[in-house]
Order: sequence, then structure tokens, then C-alpha cells
Amino acid sequence: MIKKKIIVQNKLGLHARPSALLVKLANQFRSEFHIRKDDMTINGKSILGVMMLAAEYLSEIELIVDGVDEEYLLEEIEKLFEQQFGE
Amino acid sequence: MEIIKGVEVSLGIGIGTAVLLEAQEHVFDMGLIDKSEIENEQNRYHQAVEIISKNIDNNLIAFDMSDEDKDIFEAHKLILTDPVIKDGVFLLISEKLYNLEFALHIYFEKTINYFKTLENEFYAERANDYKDIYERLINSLHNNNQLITDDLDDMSVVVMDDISPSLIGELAKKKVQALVLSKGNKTSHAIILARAANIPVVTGIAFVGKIANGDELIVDANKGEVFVNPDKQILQNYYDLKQKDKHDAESLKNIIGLPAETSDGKTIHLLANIGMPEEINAAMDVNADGVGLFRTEFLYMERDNLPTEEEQFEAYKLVAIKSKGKPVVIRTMDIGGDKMAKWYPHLNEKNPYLGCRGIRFSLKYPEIFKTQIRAIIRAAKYGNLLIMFPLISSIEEFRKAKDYVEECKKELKLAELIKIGTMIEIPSAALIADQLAKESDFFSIGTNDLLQYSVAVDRNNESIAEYYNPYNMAFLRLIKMTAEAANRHNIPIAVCGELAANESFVPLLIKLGVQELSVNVQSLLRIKRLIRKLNYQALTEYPQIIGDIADVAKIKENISLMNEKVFD
Repeated sequence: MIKKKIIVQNKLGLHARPSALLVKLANQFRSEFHIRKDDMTINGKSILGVMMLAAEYLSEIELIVDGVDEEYLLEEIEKLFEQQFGE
Repeated sequence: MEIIKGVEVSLGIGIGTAVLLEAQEHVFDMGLIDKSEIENEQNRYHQAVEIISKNIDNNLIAFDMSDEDKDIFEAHKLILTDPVIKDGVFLLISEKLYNLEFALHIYFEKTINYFKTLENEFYAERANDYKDIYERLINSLHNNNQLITDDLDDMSVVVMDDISPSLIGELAKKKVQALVLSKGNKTSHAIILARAANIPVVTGIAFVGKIANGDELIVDANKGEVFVNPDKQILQNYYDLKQKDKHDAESLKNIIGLPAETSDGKTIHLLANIGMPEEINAAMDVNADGVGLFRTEFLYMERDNLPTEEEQFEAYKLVAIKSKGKPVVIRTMDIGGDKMAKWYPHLNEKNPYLGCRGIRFSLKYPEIFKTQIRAIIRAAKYGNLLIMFPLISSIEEFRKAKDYVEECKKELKLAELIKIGTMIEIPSAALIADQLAKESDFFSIGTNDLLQYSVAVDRNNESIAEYYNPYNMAFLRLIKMTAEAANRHNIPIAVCGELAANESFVPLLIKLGVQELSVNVQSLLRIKRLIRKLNYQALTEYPQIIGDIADVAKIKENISLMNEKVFD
């Protein structure tokens, strides 16, 4: 299991489009993927979960990956965040 | 004749005969099942999900829809296949032995309520997505609302409570005129499809007892109005309007991607006036060069208390982001005059137009003003925001207002470079435009107020409406002076009042040196088309209009004569 904290840099936060991209990406991997924000931990492969986080611009979230391909998954997710979901 | 007011969710005009369709109620039990039925209920879920997903895919291929609408569909597909939702629903089936309908009802109700409690408006609105998915699932499980659509043709206006996405497809095939609903919201599947299929839709129409089968209807989905059995004259007007709209809309679409420049290559900046943050989407859809006037009164009106800094920040931020780096001129609050907010201190003014309005109000209540300024400064890093003060009548007012901006920047420890401009709408400001131009980053002329104050005519007083005439020479001289002062001091000069969208005035404004026009979104492409036909050289070489003739009729005639010569 790997955990990593990051800051949401997307100006509109994790709104519909970034959430959708994130969930689609995560579902291509076998590892489990969870996101924690404040007291809430959700399944990162669930659009419902990601939207429930209501993660706004500059909020801190923790990525938690666990499984055989966890490193690759984390790498790809980080890339997505770094590129600000192409926005 | 009766006019019923509703909410426009898919624009256009439809004229035809009312056909009331009664959606059959879904008849199904929400109850308990036997253990042996668990697998069956779960399979029904999978089937329903598969059917709807396929439907969405087909719609995405078949219809030409905006990117925003496509994103909604993509998100809905992910909701349908969401593993967490599936597990949650399945748990209610296997543990509590709820049948599928009951499980869906309980699960989605909980989810919808969760989103509704969120403070961030964007996330709170997600409740609609889940409501729509829930309804689609139930619809798909009970495909018993097979409505008889045989009677529909291209002269029908369909009137019903709410509509399913599949029925929209039917209506599109029949080429119905319009759709009138009592329920339904802008982001539901059905309404997205109606927009993609160009079916005008008005929702929120309580039609029971007001519209009957066979009634003649005009659906004005540009304004959200439904006319029941209209008078002949109105009907004729709408037929004409519809015909014109059709031609216009098609030819105007072709110039969305083209710049607002004259036939000989002079660029005129063409921006949009908006009054609500959401309107930025429409402005970007017509490719406006930015927002020349963002009225902020919406934040203050129709409520009992003042908006918080946070609330304002969110509104400005949204517009800043969505404008994608294009300039957005935020006009600080212009309360007073004809725009009174409920919380506004009762000043008991005999003459509110000459009273405590615009910047005067802001300077009198600096805490209210500073809250707004702080929100703008904070939002400025998300885009290209500019600040404009309304109703400036002297240089001192402008300086004082500007000082507050500096003060707020210091308090926030933000050194954002924000351009600050003056709205020229009082003759005394136009007359010292040369002085104001030294300290302003830009000018924008508000022609409506400038005219009313120039000629001392209350523009809402119909008995003296004849004096409220834009061909008045004094008024035109003030515009000319302002434009000249701006050009001499090298600051941008815009017109954001109604005259900017008046086709017979636009050439004159440009001739007088105006470089930017800011108009309502509906007029923008029409004005762009006009600019693109204009010959700038011919316009500048044409003799000066504002000379020594003060006769209003003569000025009007001279402008018409000029307009005949300056278009290619």
C-alpha cells in the first residue's frame, strides 16, 4: 500500500470532468484506490465517491493505492493531477 | 388569450396545436422479496443499466450536442456503472430483502439528500444527476409508459408533466413544434436531448385547467412564455419572428468563429454584457471577446440580507475561470435609482435617480463596498478581471473608490494588478473625461444613464419619452468628448449601453473613436455581422457628423445618409 498527499490544483476543484477522468483511469488498474479528505475516505473508482468528497481548489487529499499495480496506478494519477486534468 | 410564464430550458419558438399527453404512472410495488429472488432482482439491475448505457451511447453518436452536455452524459454513464452504487443497492436487496425498486428508492434518496446539503453550489446541483439516473432506472424497469404518439405531427405542441429521454426521440422524429412541461430541469437527459434536437422547451408551466387539447399555442422558449389561443396580431408577429429567426440563426452561426473586424481589417472588440454568472457560458458560446459589463446587482437583489464575501468570491471566480483569460469587467454594485434591494436602508429619497446610488452608495457604506472589492481581488487570480465604478461624477469619488481597492489589497496581502476603470454615465464625468483619463485604466460609456442625465428625462416616464432621444446633439457631443479624451490618453474606450447594440448607431460610435462594444449575448452575433460589413476607411473619411447642426431630426437623417455610404 502506498499513501500520498496532494493538493488539488484545478481551479474549479474536482468537478464533473476531472472526476470522470480520474475514475475512468483508476478503473483500468487492478489495485484498489481510495481517496481521503478530512474524515472521509471514499472509493476512487466510484464517481459517486469522488463527487461526495466535494474537493475544491487547494484542498488537500490523500491518495491511497493498494494492489499489484499500485505504483503504476499512483504514477498515472499523479500525472493527471500535475497536468491539472488537461484544463 | 392567456400568457403563462415558465422557465426556458431549450430556446426557440414553436407555434401549433396543443396535444396533451398523460404520462402513465409507473405502477410497481416497493416491497420485500423472498431470498430465492435475490439473484433475479440483481439481474434486473444489470439489465436496466445495460439498456440505459447503450441508449446514452446511441444518443452521443446520433445527436450533435455541446461539450458541456456531452460531459453530463459521460458523467451519467459513470454513475450507472458505479461499483459503490451497485454494491449499496445490492446490499439492500440481499440483506434487507428489498425488491429492486425499493432498494433504488432508498439508496438514491439518501444520495440525493447528501448532495443537497453541500454548501458548494456546484456539488449541491449533482443531486439532479442522481435524481435523473434514478428516474431513468425506474423508467427502464417499467417500460409501461408507452405513450401513443400517433396523433403528433409537425404542427403539434406537446404538453405534459415530465418527459422521458426516449420520448424526446419520438418527438424529434415527428418534428413537433415545441414542448411544454410542468416539471423537468435543465440538466436532465431529456432536456439535453431536446436541446440537441432543437425542440423549444418551456418548463414550470402549470397547464392543468389552462391548456386543453386543440388549443392554439405559441411557445416562446426564448422568454419562457406560453400564449394560449393568442390574438391574430400576436400570432402573425410570431410567425414573422419565427421565419426571421430561422434565417438569421443559420447565417449568424457561420460567423461565430470569425473576428469582429471591419471589411478592411480594423478590429473592434466585441464583448458581452452579463447579469448572472451562468451567462458566461452563453457569452463564450458566441465567442465574445470577453465581458464588457458584469452587473453585480443579482448578488444583492431579491434577498433579505447582504451577500457574504465568500458567496461573491465564488460567483466572480466562476466567471473568471470560464472566460478563459479573456477580460471581464466587473461593475461594482449599482444599487439605488430603480434597483432597490430589500436590505437597502430606507433613505426616503424624493428623487432616487439623483440620490444615493452607484458609487455614492458604496462610498457611504464602505464595509459593504470593501466586501465586494475583496471578493473581486481574490477571484482575480483565476482570470482577467477588471473593476469598474458606476455613477462617477467627480475625480474625488474615483480616487476614494480606488483607495479602497488599494486598502483591500493590503489587507489581503495580495498584489494583484487589477485595472480600474470609470463608467461614464453622468455628464459631469464626460466633461472632465480628460482628467479622469489620466487616472483611469479604461472608460466605458453607459449610454442609457448618460442620456437620461444629459437631457434631465426620467427614462421610465412615458409622458416625456420624446425627449429621451439619442440623436440629441448634446448627448452625442459628450460621447465624442469622452472617446477623444480616452484616445488622447491611450486608454481603451468602450460603450456598454443599449446604443452599442443599435445597428444604426454602431457606425457612428466607431467613427467617434469607440474601440469596444459590449452588448447583450443575444445581440452579439448580429452586431458582429454588422461590423464585418463596415468599411472603416470610408467611415473615417466621411465628414464629421457632430458639427454645428443641433436639430435632432437632421442629425438622424445625416446618420442614415452616412450609413448608406460606409458599408461594403
